[in-house]
Amino acid sequence: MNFSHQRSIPQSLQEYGRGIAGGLMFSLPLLYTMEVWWAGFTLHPGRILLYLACTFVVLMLYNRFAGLRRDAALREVAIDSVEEMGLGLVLASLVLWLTGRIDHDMSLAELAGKIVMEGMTVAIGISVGTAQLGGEGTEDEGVAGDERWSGGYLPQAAIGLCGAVLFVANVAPTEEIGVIAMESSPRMLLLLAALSILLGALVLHFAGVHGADRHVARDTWLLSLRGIVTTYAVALVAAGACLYFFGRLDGLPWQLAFAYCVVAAVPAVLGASAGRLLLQIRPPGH
Amino acid sequence: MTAKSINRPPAGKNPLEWAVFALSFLLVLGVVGILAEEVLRWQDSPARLTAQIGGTALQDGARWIVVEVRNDGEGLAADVEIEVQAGDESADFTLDFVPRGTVRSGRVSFPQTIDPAAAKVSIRGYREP
Repeated sequence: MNFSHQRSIPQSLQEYGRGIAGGLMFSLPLLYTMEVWWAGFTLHPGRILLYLACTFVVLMLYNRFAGLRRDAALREVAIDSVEEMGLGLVLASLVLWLTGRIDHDMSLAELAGKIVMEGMTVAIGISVGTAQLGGEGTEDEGVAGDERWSGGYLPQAAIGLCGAVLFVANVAPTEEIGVIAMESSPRMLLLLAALSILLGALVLHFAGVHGADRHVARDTWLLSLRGIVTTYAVALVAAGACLYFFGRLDGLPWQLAFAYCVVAAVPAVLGASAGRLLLQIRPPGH
Repeated sequence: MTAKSINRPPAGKNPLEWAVFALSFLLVLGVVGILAEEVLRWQDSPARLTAQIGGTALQDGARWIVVEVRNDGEGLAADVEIEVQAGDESADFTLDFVPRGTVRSGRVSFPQTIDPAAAKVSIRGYREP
């Protein structure tokens, strides 16, 4: 099997250390959120399995288009994604055990559910941390990206999805999203949607965020408009998916479910715009 | 090709990375296996709760009774209300959740004069989340 990288064992340990730091940094709010602990035993196991599968896809997208393996074959990206999932499960188990959220009296199904619901966000954090927290002079820093792939419309949308998930996953399971959605009038929801779109436009085109000049298509007004609309659409999809996976949309009429998505899309759009740019540590082909 | 890449050793994973991958793969496979088995045996039926006295103890001038609640059904029970009666005295408590296949416990206190052998426990009700 061909691999794009060669690391010594100390270098690998450093990389795992960065991953663990990133995993905890990005997922600590979730590890301390009781709605997520509950999701592990209140949700149908099939939905938890689907959540695991979707996280694998998000990890593959991030590792392929924005992480350290932009020059790697698909199989190597898959191997790294499995590693990140495994480390995420171990790290989540450790924190859940240390905080008294899991113990030996629980059934296997409850343990697996809780650990997966927490561990998958930890895995995404590990992936991002491994790539983002690296110092200068590591082997991976010199990897050349494939501009044709990672700079395109769909890869950028995929990285935006990763950023949106990372941001919205921390608020989607909480009761507060429901409280805001239920208490907001249609006019306020419309204003929240407008604010989200404006935030996306601001970050991508006006705020001079690092990397926007390289990763945001802005040659014509049509391309700019496509980017802004896509960013909000990606944010809505990420918000809806996270709300669904944490069981927040169950039993709701579609109007209220949509209101939940609009409310959760505010943080998601920040992830899909600013988060998307921050996740791309180096410009493609640099 | 740069000088750096010429000096680079042949690409490949080292033994530590292979070990981490192997353990991760087994862990993910195990979790998928447990959840898949749960999916196959899942039935849309209500919780089946039973409660029993798990023990008693005299502490700080009170008789403490431990109650264990078990859910042998398929559904999840939330806000499970438990009542314990001992003679003319009664006490109650609420458990947030009793997931299927699990045992959750709580304690109630009585005056130390009661006869713990006469204590009876009953489930008043629960919520289906």
